[in-house]
This record gives sequence, structure tokens and C-alpha cells, in this order.
Amino acid sequence: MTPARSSRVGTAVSAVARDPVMLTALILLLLLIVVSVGAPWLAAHDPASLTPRMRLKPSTAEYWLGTDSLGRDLFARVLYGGRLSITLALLVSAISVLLGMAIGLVAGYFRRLDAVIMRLMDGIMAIPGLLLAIAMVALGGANIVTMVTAISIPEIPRIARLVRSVVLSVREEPYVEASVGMGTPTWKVIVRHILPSTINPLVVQATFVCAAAILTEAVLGFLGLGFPPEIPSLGSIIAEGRPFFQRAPWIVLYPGLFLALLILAVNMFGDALRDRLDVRQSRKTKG
Amino acid sequence: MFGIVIRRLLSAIPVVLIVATVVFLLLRMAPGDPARVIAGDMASEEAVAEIRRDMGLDRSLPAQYLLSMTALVKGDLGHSIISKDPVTKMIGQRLGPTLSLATAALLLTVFIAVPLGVLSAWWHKRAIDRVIMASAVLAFSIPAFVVGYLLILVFSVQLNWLPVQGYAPLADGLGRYLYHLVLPAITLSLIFVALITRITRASMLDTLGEDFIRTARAKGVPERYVLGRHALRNAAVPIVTIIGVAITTLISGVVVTETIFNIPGVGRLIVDAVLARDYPVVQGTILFFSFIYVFVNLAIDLIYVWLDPRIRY
Repeated sequence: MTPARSSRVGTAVSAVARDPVMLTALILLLLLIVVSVGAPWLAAHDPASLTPRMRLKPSTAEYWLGTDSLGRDLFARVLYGGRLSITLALLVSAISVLLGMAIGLVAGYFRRLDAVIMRLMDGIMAIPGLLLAIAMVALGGANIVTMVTAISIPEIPRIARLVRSVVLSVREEPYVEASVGMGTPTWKVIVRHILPSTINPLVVQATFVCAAAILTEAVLGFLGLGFPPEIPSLGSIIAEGRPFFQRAPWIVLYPGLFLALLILAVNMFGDALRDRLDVRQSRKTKG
Repeated sequence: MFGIVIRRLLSAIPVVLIVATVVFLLLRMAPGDPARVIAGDMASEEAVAEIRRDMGLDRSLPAQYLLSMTALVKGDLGHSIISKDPVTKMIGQRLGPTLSLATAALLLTVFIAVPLGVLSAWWHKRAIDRVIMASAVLAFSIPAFVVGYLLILVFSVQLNWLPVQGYAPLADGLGRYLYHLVLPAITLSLIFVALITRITRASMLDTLGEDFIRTARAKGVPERYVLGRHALRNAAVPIVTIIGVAITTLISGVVVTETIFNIPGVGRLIVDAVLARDYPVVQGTILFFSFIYVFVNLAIDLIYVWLDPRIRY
């Protein structure tokens, strides 16, 4: 590691440490990620093993969060569900950011394509994202490829719009004009001079995409359209707990709490990042 | 004004066609074979082929596209595979509960979120502001189905004040209607209240920093008029814009809320259709909701003209 780099990391660390909101969000987020990733080591029981005589039990020393209607350990199921949510969120945000960035760069830089591409993006934005995801998962079956595609597509237009707006404002800058004037190849202008300006708003947006992906996956699971029942997902655990809600509300409430904390941590982290990284956006929502 | 309405209506036609095209393409490009999914895992090749023929999926993509677009122009969203009913009729039968729920949630949002946002901007960086903003982030993060079940647990199961589930049409009397609508409307509106509160605050903060506000205060306009007439009216355009964009969030929320509270609306229709693999109903309902989005935003464009006479199309 070069000295310059380590000092940048140092600046970042001290900036985070001074921002209580960012620090809280980061600690909460890391905690949730660690317990989710560590699910196989933290959970004493297999999330799929059935113990019929222990069904619908409230939390005990053995079953920390109680058991569900089939006597499965809720603690293990919630952690494995969190693992799935986080994996999916990262995949969705990587794919939608990459595709949205490519589309936004093309639309913003090549004026001829702009109108066509943006009308198509407007078209996608008019379709309620959840419904599109529902339909695509219903048609394609609930496997990881369909799921990631279905949740990514509604996010792409927002990213594309954001990148396009940054490109439109940056490409008129003197340093870009100068570079074009000196005969720099187009790809090099885009990669060297335009792309860097999109990074900060994209990082902020990517965290919000993560939050949206976690929520959409949970909703799909809740509606009974998520992954098959043998794969624990926060949404489907809640859906399975619905018929027993009055007798055993914890089956709905614990995964719900985990889900809410996860989304809250991601949203808080995103807000704090936006205040720090994206001056233009943060002026709109902060004083 | 009449000219503007006509011009905006005409400009919505290409948008509707683009939306319909996008829905068509995305659903056709989705991985998997709808005919096979509908037929089920056990179906024979012949059965799959028959469904494919029935749905017109054996034709070429352009032919399918042309067929569904001509049907659409005639106002035909297709027929259910199961009940054979036209999709438009099925949506019509279930529109009442959905409209009631969405309207109630929007009313709640406007009456709660706008005052909260104004208050927050007025007490900028004070304790009230911080509490309201923290609550907004919290409310924005709790999924509707978690909120819904918490509300049911407290108000229906523990306190026994409100019904656990169900819907009563207005024909059963206003009291029963509202009695069943309270919890679903609160559940649906929560995320909206959070969103609109934040936008209202931000927009008010922008406006409160303007010169004309200082002038109004300097000439002795009472503060409630400064906030209500001078600031809020000017801050309204971004608020209304966000309401328009967030209509998709509202529609997604309707689907979830109707499922939690067992309300027989259009949102429930799409979930039932997916579970029954009634593919034309799924596609028709998505188109219907997308058109709602387009037309709500059209209406909002017209509201702009009324809110801010400087805006002209």
C-alpha cells in the first residue's frame, strides 16, 4: 500500500468516526452482515431440520427466537434469510449499477441515441417495479437468475437517469472540451474524464438499490412468489408464519424486525454517504 | 387551459404505447417458457403445445406484438385462462376496494406529511426537526407487511378495537366502511408519509431561504401566512412531483396491503393470478397499473399549471 493511499483510508476512517449517524449505521450494518454471513457457525440448528414436537414454541435457551409451525429453529432461519437478502442485494446493485451506468453514459454522451434510450427508460419507470418483478418471477420461475434480473430491471432507469444527468453537466466542462479538442479518443474521454464524476452519486445510489432489493425480495417471498420453501428467506418465513400469527406472533415479528433493521441500516448509511459524497443531491434534502 | 389539457392528453398516447411495448418485450424476454409454467411440471408436450397455441405464443414475436397492440387500442387487455372473463371486467369488479384504499392512504399522507414537513423545516435543526427526520428514516425502512402485522397485533388482537382483516364496501354503511379501512390505510400510507415529509421539509427549506420570504416577514405578514401562502405554495411543485413518481410505490404497497388485510382489490387480483398462473391477467393488470401511473402524472402536469402559473406547456 502506498503512503498516499493509506492516508486516504485514514481520512475516511476519521470522517466516519466523527459522524455519529454514519458510525451507528455502519456498526449496525456490519453486525447484521457478520451474523448473516456467519449463520452456519452461529446457528446451533439446521434451518431446515424439523422437530415436530417442538413446533410453535416461544424463545428458549435452545431456540433463541422460538420455533416455527414445523418446529424449525427460527434463529437459524432468520440468519440464513438475512444471508440470502444480502447476497441478492449485492448482486442486484452490482448489475443495475453497471448496466445503468453504461446506458446513462451512452445516453448522455451520444446525443442521437439519447431520446430513444430515455423514452425506453421512461417506459420502464412507468411500470411498478414490484409488479414487473412479480410477473417475471412468475414466468421464469424463482431461481437466482430470474430473481436478480427481475429486481434489477426496475432499478436500471433510475441509475441511467442519474448518470446521464451527471454526464450532461460534465461534458460541457472546459477540461472535457479541451480533451476532445486535442483529439483524445471518445472512449478515453468517457473513461478518464467523465466516469470519475459519476462515481460518488453512484455509490450513494447503489446503497439505496441494496435497500430496495432487500425489500423487493422480502415482498416476493411474503406474497409466496419467492424462492422455493426449502430456501429460508425473510419474506417467506413471514408468509409461513401468517396463519399462526395470533398464536405465535414471533414467527412474523422476528424476521420482520431483522428485515427492518437491515433496511434501516442500509438507508441510514446511504443518507450519511449522500451528505458526505453527493453535494448536489444532499442540498435537495438537507438544509 | 382547455388547449393544454387536449395537448397533454395527446402527448400521453406515445407514452402509453411505449409502456405497452416495454411490458410486452420484458415479459417475452423473461427467461423461461410461460406455456410450460402454466401447464405445470407434469404436463405432456402436447398439453404445453396446446397452451402455447391458445395463447398465440407459437406465432412470431412481431405477429404477437401486433396482435396484442391492436387488441389494446380497442381497449382489450385479454382474457383470463381460467374464468375466460375479459381482464378489463375483472379489474373493474375489484377497482372499488383498491381505489378506496389508495385514496384513503393518499389523504392520510397529505394531511400528516405536509404539516410535519412544514413543522420540521420551521424548526430546522432543532429537537422537533431531528425527531421528525429520525422517525421518517425509521418509517421509511419498516416494510409494510411488518407494520401491518404490528398494527393488527396491537389494535385488533390485543385491544380488539379494529377488525383483523377484511373489507366492507361503502354500501354497507360509512361506519363499517371506514372501520375496515383504518388499519390498511395507515399501513399503506406509512412509507409515503415518511417520503413526503422529507420532501416537504427539503422543499420548504429551499423556499424559506428566498428573498420574497424575507420581504414578506419584513412587511409584517403573520408567520402562518408566510408559511402557508408564501412558502408552501411555492414549495408545492416538488412535493407534487414526488407524489407522482411515488405512485409506483403506492401501487406496490397496494399489492402488499391487500394481501395482508385480505382485501379483494386489483392488487390481490395480480397475486392470485400469478399463483394460479393466469398469465393474461398478470399482463393485463400490469398494463392497467402502468397506465394509471401515466395518467396520474398527466394529471399532475396539469396541477402544475394551476399551482404555478409560470409553467406553460
